[in-house]
Amino acid sequence: MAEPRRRLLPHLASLLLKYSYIISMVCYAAGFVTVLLLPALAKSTYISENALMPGSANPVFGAREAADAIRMADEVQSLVLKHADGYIAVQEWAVKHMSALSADCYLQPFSPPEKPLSSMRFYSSPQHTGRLSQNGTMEGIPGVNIVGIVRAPQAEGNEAVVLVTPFRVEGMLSTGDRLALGFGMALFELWGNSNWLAKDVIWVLADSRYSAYTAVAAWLQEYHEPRFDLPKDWGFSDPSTQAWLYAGKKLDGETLLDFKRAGTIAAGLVLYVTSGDGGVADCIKVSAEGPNGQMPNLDLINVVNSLAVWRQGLHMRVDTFADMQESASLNYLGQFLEKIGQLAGKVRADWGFVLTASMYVEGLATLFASVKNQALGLPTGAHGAFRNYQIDAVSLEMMAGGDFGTVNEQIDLLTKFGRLIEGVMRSVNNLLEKFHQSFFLYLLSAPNKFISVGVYMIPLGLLLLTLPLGAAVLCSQSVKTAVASDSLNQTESDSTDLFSATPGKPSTEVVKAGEREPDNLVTAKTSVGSWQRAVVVVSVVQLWASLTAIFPPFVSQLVDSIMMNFSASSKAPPVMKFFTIPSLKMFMWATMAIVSLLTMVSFLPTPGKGDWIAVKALLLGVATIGLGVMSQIDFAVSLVGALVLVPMSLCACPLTNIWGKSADEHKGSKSIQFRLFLLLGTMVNIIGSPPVLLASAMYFIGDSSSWQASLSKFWEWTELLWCWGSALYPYILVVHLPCSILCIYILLS
Amino acid sequence: MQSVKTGAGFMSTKMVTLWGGLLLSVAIRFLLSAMGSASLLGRRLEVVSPVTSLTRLAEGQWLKQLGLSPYAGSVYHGSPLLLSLLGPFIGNRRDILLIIESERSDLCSFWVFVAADLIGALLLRSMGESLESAHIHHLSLLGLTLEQIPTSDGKAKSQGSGRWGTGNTAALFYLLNPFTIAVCIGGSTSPIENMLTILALYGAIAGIVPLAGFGWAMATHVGMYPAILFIPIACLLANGPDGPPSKLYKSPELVQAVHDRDGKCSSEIGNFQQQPAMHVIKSSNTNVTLSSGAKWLVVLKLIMWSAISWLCILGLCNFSLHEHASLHDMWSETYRFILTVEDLSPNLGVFWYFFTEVFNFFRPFFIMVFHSNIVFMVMPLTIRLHHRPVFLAFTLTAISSMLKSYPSVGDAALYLGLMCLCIHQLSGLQYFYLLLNGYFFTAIIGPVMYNLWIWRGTGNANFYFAMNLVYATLQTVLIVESSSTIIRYDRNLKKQSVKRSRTST
Repeated sequence: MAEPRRRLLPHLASLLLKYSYIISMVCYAAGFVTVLLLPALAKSTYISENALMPGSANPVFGAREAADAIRMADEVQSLVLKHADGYIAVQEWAVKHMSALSADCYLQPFSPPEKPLSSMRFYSSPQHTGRLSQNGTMEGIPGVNIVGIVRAPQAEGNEAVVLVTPFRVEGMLSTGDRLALGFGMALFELWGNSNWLAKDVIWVLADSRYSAYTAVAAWLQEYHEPRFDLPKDWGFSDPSTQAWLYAGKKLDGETLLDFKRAGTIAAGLVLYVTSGDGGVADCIKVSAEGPNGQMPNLDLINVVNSLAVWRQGLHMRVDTFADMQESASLNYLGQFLEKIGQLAGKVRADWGFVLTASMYVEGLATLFASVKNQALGLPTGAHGAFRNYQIDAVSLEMMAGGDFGTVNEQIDLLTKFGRLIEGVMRSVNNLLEKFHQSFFLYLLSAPNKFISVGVYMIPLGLLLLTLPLGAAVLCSQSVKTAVASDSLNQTESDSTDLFSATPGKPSTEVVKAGEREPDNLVTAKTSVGSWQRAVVVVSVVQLWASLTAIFPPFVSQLVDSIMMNFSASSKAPPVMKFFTIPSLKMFMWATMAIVSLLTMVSFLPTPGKGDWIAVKALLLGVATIGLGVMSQIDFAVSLVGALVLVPMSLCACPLTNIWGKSADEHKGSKSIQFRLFLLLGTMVNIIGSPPVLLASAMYFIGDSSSWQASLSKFWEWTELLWCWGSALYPYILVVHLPCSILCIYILLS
Repeated sequence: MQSVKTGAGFMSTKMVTLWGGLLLSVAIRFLLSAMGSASLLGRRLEVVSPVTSLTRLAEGQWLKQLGLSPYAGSVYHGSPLLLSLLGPFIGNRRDILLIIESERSDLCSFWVFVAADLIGALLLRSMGESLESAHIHHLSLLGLTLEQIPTSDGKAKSQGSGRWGTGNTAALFYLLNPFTIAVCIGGSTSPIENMLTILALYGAIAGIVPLAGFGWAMATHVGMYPAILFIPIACLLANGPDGPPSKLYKSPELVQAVHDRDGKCSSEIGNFQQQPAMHVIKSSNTNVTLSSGAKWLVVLKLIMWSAISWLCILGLCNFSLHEHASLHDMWSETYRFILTVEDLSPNLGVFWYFFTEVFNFFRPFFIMVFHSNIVFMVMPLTIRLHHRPVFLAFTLTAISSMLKSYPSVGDAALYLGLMCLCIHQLSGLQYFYLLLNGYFFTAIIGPVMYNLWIWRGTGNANFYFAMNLVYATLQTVLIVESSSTIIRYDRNLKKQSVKRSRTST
C-alpha cells in the first residue's frame, strides 16, 4: 500500500497532539511565570485625554477656606450635640448654608437595604434599595440624603460632577466625618461663588447609617430610574421630623423633598477624612474597584495621582498587602529579576529594565491586592455604586500624617487636600466627552503603574490554551481506542460502513487524522455510546451545581419561617442547642447539596470502560467555556480560577491507572515515570478538590474557635457575595464545583 | 434518554420516557415562569424580537381596545389574528418590565404557549415516526438491513416507533431545548409560529393536503419566512417522506441485481418482502405518487387549499381589524416592516449592524442583496435535496433563521427540532463536539458581551456583533456540514446497495 500523501495541516495537528503533554506543561508554567512577572511588565500611567489639562489653573482654595471649613465643622458638631436627632441637625445646617448660597438643595429619603437573600434576584436589579412590604410601608427607619446643586453659570446644566461626603451620627460626628462635612461645605461655597464652572456640581451628604454605598446607590437610582411606588410620608412618625421636612414649603408648592437633577454625571468623587495610621507624610489613598472588578477610567486616577504627587507633594497610596512585602522568598525572586534586568541591559541597552527587588515586591503586593479586590467582586467603597450607571468614580481617603492635633495642622492638611480636589474638579470640568480615552480594563501595581488588558490577558491565554489542546488529544484518543478494540473482532468491516460514512468523531483535529481509517458501525456505536453517557454525566453534575447555586434564598426563607413559628410559641427549637441561625442555614445548604449530589450520582448510567476519556474531554470543554466567559465578566476571578482549575482538570485520570494493571494499554508505557506523573496529577486534584479548598478557606476566613462559628462565617460570606452580585459566587458554584466533582468522578471511575 | 434500548419493556420504557419528558418539560416551564423569569427573559433581545414581542402585542391590544388601529405608532408588527387570539389573555398585562409579580393573565398566556410547544412536539413525534418507517421501508427495498443484527422488517414496522425512536428523540429534544423553553416563557409569539410551521410539515407528511395548505398559509401569514417552505411541502406531498434519490431505483445494475436476487433468495427477506422486489420498487414509486400527472394534481390541490386558506385568513384579518385599520396597514406594518428592516435595535442577526452604517441611498440595494441571499439558496438546495424534503425544510429554516431581519433563539429552536428528525442520517455529522461547544459558548458569551456594551460601558457594539458573527458562522457550519453529511450518506447508500446486490447475485 502506498504511503498516503502527507498534508501539512493535519501533520502539524498530529505533531501538536503528540507532544501535547509537554506543550501544556510549558504553557502552564509560562502562564504561571507571567503572572509573577506582571509587575515587571507594568507601564507608567500617563494622561491620555488632552482635555483634562491637570494643573493648568491655579487653585484658589487657600488657608482662609480651610479655616472656614474647620469653623463649619465645629458648628455642625455643636448643632448635632444640641439636637435630639443628629441627622436632622446636619440637615438643618446643610440646608441653611446651601440656601444662603442660593444653591438648589433637597432631601432624599431612602429605604433601608433589603434583608439579604430575601429574593431570587441575582444580577437582575439593584439589590441595595429595599422594596415595600405588602401594605406599602417601609420596614426600618429610612435614611435621608442631603443634596445640594451648584448650577454652573456658563452652562445649560446638562452635565454634572458629583461630590460625596458620607457621614454617620452616633450621638455625635466623628472627627473625620466632621472635618469631611466642613471641608465639603467649604468647597461647595467656593464653587458656588466661582465663575469657571462648566458643569453643575452636586454635593451629596450621604447618610451612611446603613452604609455609604446604600445611601449613594439609593440616590443614584432615584436620579436615573425614579420609582413611583415610594411611600408618601416615609413613615416619619416623629411629628417634629414631619414638621421639619415640610417646613421649607415655598410659595410655588416646592418642598424640601422635591428631587432635582442636573444632567448626566461625568464623574464622582467620594471624600473621606481619616486620622491616618501614623504614616510619615500626609497621604491620599485611592480606592477604585467597583462591583465585579470594574474599574473607573484610568485617566481619573491619573489626574488625582499627578495633581497629588506633582503639585501638592502628597503621597498617594492604593490598597496593598503589607505583610507580603516582608516575604523572604519574594525578595529572592525580586533580586533574581533585578539581576536579569541588569544582565539584559548589558547585552543590549534597550533590553534592560530597572526593577529593584523592593520595587518588584511592592508591585507584586499591590498587584495581588488589586487582584484580590477585583476577584472578590465587592466594591471597595461608595464609588462602586456609580459604576452601575457607567459613571467613573473614585474614593479619596485623605489621611493626615499625624493626628489632627492643632488647628494649624488641620488647616495645613485641608489646604493641601482642598487644592487637590479643586484641581481635580477643574480637570473634570474641562472634559468635553465622557471619560473614554484611557483604559477601563487594567490592574494597578502601584499608584502610577498599571498593567493593561493586553498584557494581563497573556498569562490567562497561556493557561487556557492547554484545555482545548487536552480535549483534542482525548477525543482523538477515544476514537483511536475504539477503532483499535473493534478492528480486532471485525474481520469484514468494509461491508457494514453504511451508517458511519464518517463516524461520530467529535473534534476537528481528529476528523482529519481519522478520515482515512476504515471505520465501521460498531466503532461509531461504542464511541457514540460513551459520548452519550459522558454528556449525561456532565449535564447532570452541571444541573446539580446550578440548583445548588440558587438554593441559598430558599434555605434562608425556610429557616426564617421556622424560626418565626418557634418564636411565636416562645420556645427555642431543639436544634438551636447546636446551631446559630447562620450556621444552621449553612449546614442545611451543605446537607441538601451533598444529599442531592449522591441521589443524582446514583441515577447516573453505569460507566463503561474508557468512559472517563469522554467525560474528561467534556470537562475540559466546560472548564474552557466557564473560564473564558468569566474572564469577560471579572478577569481576576478567571485568572485565579484558571491557576487552580487548569492543572486540576488536566491531571484528572482514574486512580486505577496508577497502580492498577495496564490491561487496556498495549503499548506498555506504564513506566514508573508515567505512574509518578499520574500520582502527582492526582495530588493536584486532591488539593484542588472542594473539601480541601473548604478546609483552607476555613483556615483563612473561618473562625477557628468552633465549627459552628466557621459555618456562620461561611454563610455570611455567601450572603455577602450573593447580595453584591459578585461573579465569584457563580464561578465557585457553577464552574469550579462541578468541574472538581467531575474530576473526582474521573478519579474514581 | 436514549440509553434505554432493547429489552422486554421496550415499548413501555419508551412511552414512560416520552411522557416523563413531556411532564418534565412542562414542570420546568412552570417553575421558571413561577419564579418570575418572564420579566428577566422578556427584555432579552435574544428571546424577543420586534415582530414576536408580547409586550408589543399587549400595546397593540390596548390600542385596539381604545378603538384605534393596533398598528398605530408602529409598535405592533404581528398578525391581527394573533392579536385576537392572545389579546384577551394578556389584555390586563401592563408593562411586564414594571410588574414583576406574575398575574393571572400571565399564567393564561403561559398555558397557551406551553400548549403550542406540546402540540409542536407531538406533531414532530408523529412526523419522526412516519419518517422512520419510510426509512426502514426504503432500506428494505434496497435490500439493506439496519444493522448487522438481523431483524425482520416486519417486526420493525409493527413496532412503529422503531429502533431509534426518532420521533421521541425529536419531540423530547424540541421540548427540552433551552432555546424553546426560553422562548416559551419569555413572552414571545415564536412558539405559535413554530407550531404552525411544524403543522404544515406534518400535514404534508401525513398526506393531508388541506392541513398542509392551511398550516403553510398560517405560518407564512404569522412569520413570512415559512413562505419558502412551500417547496419542501410540495415535495413531501408529491414524493412522500425522505428517501434515497429516486434514480437509485432506476440504476440498471441495481434493478438487474434485485431482479436476479428475487429468483434466488426471496425467502431471506421477511414477510414484508415476499412479493417480488421489482414489484416493490414499482409500488414504492407508485403508491405515493402514481405518475407525474398525479404529482402535479397534488401540488395543484396544495396551491388551491393554500389559496383558500389565505382568503380565509385575509377575511378574518379584515374582520378583526374592523374599520380601525385596513389590510394595507397590516401589510406595511408586518411584511414591509420585516423586509425594510426599519427597527435597527440590536438583535441576533446580521442586518442591524450593517444598516445602521449604510447610507440611505444604498439602503434599498443592500436590503435587496441581503434578502436575496435566502431566495438564491432555495433553488440549488431544492435541486440537490428534493428527495429529502424534511431535511430540505430544515436547511431552509436554518438559512432563513440565520439571514432573517429579526431573528431570535425561537428560530433556532425550530430548526434544531427539525434537524433532530434526520438524526439517523446525520449521525456521521462532523464537528459535532465543536458545534455543541460553540452553541453553549455563544449562548453564554452573547449576553455577557451585550452586558459589557450596554450596561457596563466597557465594551462597544463590535463586541456584541462579533458574537453575532460567531453565531452566524456556527449556523453556517451546521448547515454546510449537515448537507454534506446527507449527500455523503446518499452516496454511501448507493454504494452499499450496489455492493450488496452484487454479493447476493
